[in-house]
Amino acid sequence: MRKIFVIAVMLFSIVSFVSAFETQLDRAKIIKIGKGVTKKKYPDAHSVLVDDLIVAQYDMKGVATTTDDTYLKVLDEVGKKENSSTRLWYDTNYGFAEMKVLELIKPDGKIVPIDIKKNMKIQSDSSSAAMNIYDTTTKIVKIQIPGIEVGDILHYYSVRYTKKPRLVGHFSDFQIGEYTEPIVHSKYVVIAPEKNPLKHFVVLDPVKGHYKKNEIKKDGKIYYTFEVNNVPQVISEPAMPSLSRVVMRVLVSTIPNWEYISKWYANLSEPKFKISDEMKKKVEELIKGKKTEMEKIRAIFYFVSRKIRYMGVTTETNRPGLEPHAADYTFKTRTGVCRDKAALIVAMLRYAGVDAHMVLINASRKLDKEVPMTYFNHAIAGARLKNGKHILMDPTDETTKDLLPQYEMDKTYVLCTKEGDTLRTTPVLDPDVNKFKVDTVIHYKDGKYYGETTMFFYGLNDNALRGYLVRLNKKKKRDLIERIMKEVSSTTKIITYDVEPKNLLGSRDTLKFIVKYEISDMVIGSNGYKMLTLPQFGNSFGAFSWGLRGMTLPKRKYPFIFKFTASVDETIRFKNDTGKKMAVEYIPEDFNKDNGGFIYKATYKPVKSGFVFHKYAAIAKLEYSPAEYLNLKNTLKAIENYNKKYIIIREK
Amino acid sequence: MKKLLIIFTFFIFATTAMFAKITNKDEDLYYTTISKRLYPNASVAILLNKTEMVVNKDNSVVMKHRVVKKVLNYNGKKKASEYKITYDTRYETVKILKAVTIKRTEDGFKEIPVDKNAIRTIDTPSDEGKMIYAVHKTIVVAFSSVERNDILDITYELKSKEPHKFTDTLILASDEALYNFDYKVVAPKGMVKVVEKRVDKGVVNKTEKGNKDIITIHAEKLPQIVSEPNMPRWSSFLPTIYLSAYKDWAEYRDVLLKKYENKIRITDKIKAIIKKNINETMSTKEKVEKLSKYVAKNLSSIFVGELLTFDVRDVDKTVESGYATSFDRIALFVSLMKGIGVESYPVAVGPDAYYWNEKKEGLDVNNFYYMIAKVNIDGTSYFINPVSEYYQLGEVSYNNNIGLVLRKDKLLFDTISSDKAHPEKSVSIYDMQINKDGTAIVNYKEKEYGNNAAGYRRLYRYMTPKKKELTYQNILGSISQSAIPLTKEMSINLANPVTISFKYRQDNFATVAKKFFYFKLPVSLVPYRLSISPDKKKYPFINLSDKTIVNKVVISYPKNSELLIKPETMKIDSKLFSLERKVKEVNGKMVIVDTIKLKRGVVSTKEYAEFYKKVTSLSNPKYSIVLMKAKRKKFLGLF
Repeated sequence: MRKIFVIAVMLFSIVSFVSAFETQLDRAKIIKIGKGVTKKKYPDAHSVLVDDLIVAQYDMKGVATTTDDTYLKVLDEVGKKENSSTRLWYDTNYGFAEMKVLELIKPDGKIVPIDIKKNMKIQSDSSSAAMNIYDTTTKIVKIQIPGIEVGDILHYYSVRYTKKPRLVGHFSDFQIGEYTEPIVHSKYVVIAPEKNPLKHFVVLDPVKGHYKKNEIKKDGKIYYTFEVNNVPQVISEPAMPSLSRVVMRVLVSTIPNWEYISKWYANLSEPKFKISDEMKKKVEELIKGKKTEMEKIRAIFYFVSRKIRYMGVTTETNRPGLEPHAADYTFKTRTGVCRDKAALIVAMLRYAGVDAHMVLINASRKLDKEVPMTYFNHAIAGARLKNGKHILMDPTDETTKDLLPQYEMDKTYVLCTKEGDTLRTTPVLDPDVNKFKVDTVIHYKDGKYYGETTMFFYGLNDNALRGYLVRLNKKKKRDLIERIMKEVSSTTKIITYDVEPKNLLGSRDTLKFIVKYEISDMVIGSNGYKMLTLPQFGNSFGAFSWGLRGMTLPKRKYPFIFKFTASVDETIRFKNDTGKKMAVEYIPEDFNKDNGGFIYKATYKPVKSGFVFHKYAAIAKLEYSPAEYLNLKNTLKAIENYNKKYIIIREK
Repeated sequence: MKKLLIIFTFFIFATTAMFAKITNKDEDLYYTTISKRLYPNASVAILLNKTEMVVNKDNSVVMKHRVVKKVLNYNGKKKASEYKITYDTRYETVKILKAVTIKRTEDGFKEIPVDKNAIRTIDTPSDEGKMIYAVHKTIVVAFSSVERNDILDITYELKSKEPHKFTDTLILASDEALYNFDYKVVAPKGMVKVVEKRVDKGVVNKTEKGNKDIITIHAEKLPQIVSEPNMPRWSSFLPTIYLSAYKDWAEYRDVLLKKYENKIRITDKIKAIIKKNINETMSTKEKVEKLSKYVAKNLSSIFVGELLTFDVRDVDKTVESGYATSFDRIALFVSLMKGIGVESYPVAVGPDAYYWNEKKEGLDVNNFYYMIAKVNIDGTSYFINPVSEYYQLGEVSYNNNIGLVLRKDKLLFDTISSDKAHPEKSVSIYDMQINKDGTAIVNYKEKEYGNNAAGYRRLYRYMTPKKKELTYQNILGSISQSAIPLTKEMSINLANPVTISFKYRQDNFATVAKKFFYFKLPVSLVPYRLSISPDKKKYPFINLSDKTIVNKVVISYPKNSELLIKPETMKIDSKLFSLERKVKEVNGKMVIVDTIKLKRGVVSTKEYAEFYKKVTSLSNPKYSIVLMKAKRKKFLGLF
């Protein structure tokens, strides 16, 4: 059974020590089965999981050991390359993992053991360094597998020890029973003390006829078993939901409910909200003159998001990687990671009289609401306003204008309070929150367009662009604008440009580009007939156009996911300043499609000495079933054809 | 020892120095006036970058380095607040002498020492997965409480016992505002050679003291370079100083040769590999190719971009480990060649030939960073990089780079290149039938040579049928939402050239608008994507590719229409490309053949305006639009 690794703040690792239960498979039997696993039988696989036994055993404290006995057959060179080394991860604060057996079973049955010690290297996991977090406690064990060949069965047996559970007395885990390689057979067993049984043992998206699930009580223990047979491989599609949301999976947990997690993290964080005199002074300074609760929240939010540098270099003592630093330490050093910044904002807001709390969120994927577990990878802050509303704030992003960045929409979270709160989902926002508005005036004369375009960036557009712009120097900013303008024509020549507001970090005014330019190749033709096209920046720039990428498949097995809602609202006023009359031989018809969540409307309206083009398009719904996707494709086909249309004129 | 400015070691925290009083000299430095006029693009002002080093006879080095930076804005804070020092744990130790944030006060400045807990030594991220070659550590110094206008002041000492000779290349420019650059080397007399390029008089000074040479370099207000696409290497057009303790290139070659001494040998393992892979019915070429592919398939690649600090491993150990760097892999490959009686040599890959003259003069050995092999088969030489099974014999990446052939008998620098059968070339052929309703039936064929061919082999050789099907659908989907396959699958031939062909229908390929009928050719004439206009161009534009692109479009279209706009025959020659479009009517079909040849070279900033005009003019839709009209007229109005 394949494990999906969730990097970052994985609150739970896997489990306990193994006792008398058999944790290793019968090798001779598997070798026989492996002979029938061939490229001919599995033409779409590079390797096949022949058998796998994962046994997790935990005790009353949540201390756990998990063994994994895996047999995987290599079918081609890609499979060989993918399996020429293997890796284990662990966090030294909570436990460790080791490879006990690693061997190759050759097609003739010969066993070639791999010297693990000789072929192993342990290093710190540096993946977080790119995010400015310098952690030395997460380790990667890389083991090279020399001599692996096509036709071999790779056998490994590893053990993971959780010496210190993140959540004392509890165990939770999930395994997937369907993967991008075929699974011949796989079994997952959880051994629990009868006095600390699983509260949840759930299979989601089951593949009927290919799995079994049962539980047996014996000698004071409960054995929970999930077994799969001959499960076909998943063929991944672009823009599909994360694998762990769509494939057959088993979720296990002793945690009674989401409220329990909420209370646990609230209690873990509570001691960190101590406020120093300097902090009090800063809060008073920030909220001075602010009358409403929201005004106070915004003032404190922007201070924390912009003045506290995102950086992690010091470790915590109790629950490293989980608990925040003391708010006064973060305030003093002006540095911290997500949970530190969230704790600081909570402490400051509370002093300002706001009912603020820590929030655990998974910023990458939605969690299954059926089973409470702590696969959160991010911490933010939340507040319950006096008017009864809840708001969320993510001060991690140092340049965000929004309290909650748009990329965190439709994600699952828990507000961490003493009384507990359930799993909630961040709202899917109206597409106009993420609008890209473009107003253009074109004067056509001397065969050229003389244009002035104002681009207004809202929501996600603002967030993405503002954060990028503040890191650019003057020349690079200009280069960026030139690149955007050249998306419509490489002959675009900027005459003047302006970016507003001038102080991108200090001001929360709408981000705008105002550009004057000329384009020399948007009108073609001679002998009277000319073809005109318009500089539509909304087709190539902004969140809406980014969202449309990846829609190349004619049909799908899995849903198509837009990552965000977005809209574009573009107006182009075209003025004929040539001094000559022009006969309109052809002007594109109006276009209007509303596809239940995907909208595209365009019109050309003749006015004196020219015409006005207007387009409004929106992604209002995020997930499309395979059937809905077909309709969406038809709409996109029509849009593509519409966008190819030129205006044809004849000079009089 | 190389690139001293970026390599360091062992860390000892020197607490006492953190609280030293600010001297008058330092105060003067901190008061440096920042010029927005001089540096409009700066986010950090480097007030001082000072290096003092003593190079000893045994090549050991003691270096003291101080950097003082002023944070000018948010971007500067992001860039400068963490100072990272990477060092080689085998040879080097680092001692941090001072690390403070300087804040302006009403009456001067105050120091905030870096919190001890905010200094951490981590495994260098780029070393991850490099097994025995993971030898570096990085010290991260996180300055506290950094705000705009704060000054970050760090000094550290490096001691290196790296056995290799001292070299360094200094470019008198920076990606930020650099106000004072001081560099001093004390070395045994005559040990370090200095080559200056485009450097003003008086910047470099050499004096003697006893049996030592003292080389000092001082420069102020260095230019800030804001990178541009297709920019030549800085060292090729900015003031550059090469320092090298090597006597000549032969000495460097001998160092590399020594690493291979006793490492190219026919062991039992080598014999077994040969026996397993080849038989006597094979030609020499086939044997070489088979063994090259064996090495590529059976050794995971670990990239180590330096040739001097590691020993070449014994071939048996390399085979046993299952992974190899370029230099290990070449020892194995050359041993295999020796085992089958084929003459071959390790080749150190250096800079592109365009940069070579100056690098050669400056004895800049650090530009050699990778190993491939040169093999002689029946009097013909081939460059082989046995890291990839997807390159054929005669086909090699690193085209036009300089290769130092490791031969005892002569000092030989070759320009690495593929043979004539494997040029850098792409050919696309569209055979199109366009119907009255705008539908196009397209027979598409693509031929790829050189690196693109290798890329396709990498992509398709082991692609499963289902993945091929999805890839085909994706390709059609990226051509148009309306593209429908007419052949069940793509036909793929991975020989030389690699050919891919398929047939599809594209509804609405041509737009039918009242009496008009128009479409866009599926090819582009534009050889370069130029994003910077001439008035903003600051640096030369370089192209080092010599690829040829051929696009052929054969169009059958409805006959009862008048052609209003159509492509014309044309020819353009420019410093960095030539272009020829031939348009013919053959048997009632329009045949368009475009040949674009990229030329290696540099366009200066003065030449850029004309070059830009030529290139951008080629994106004009008039070169890609075909407009036709039916005879009957329909009038819509005037504006």
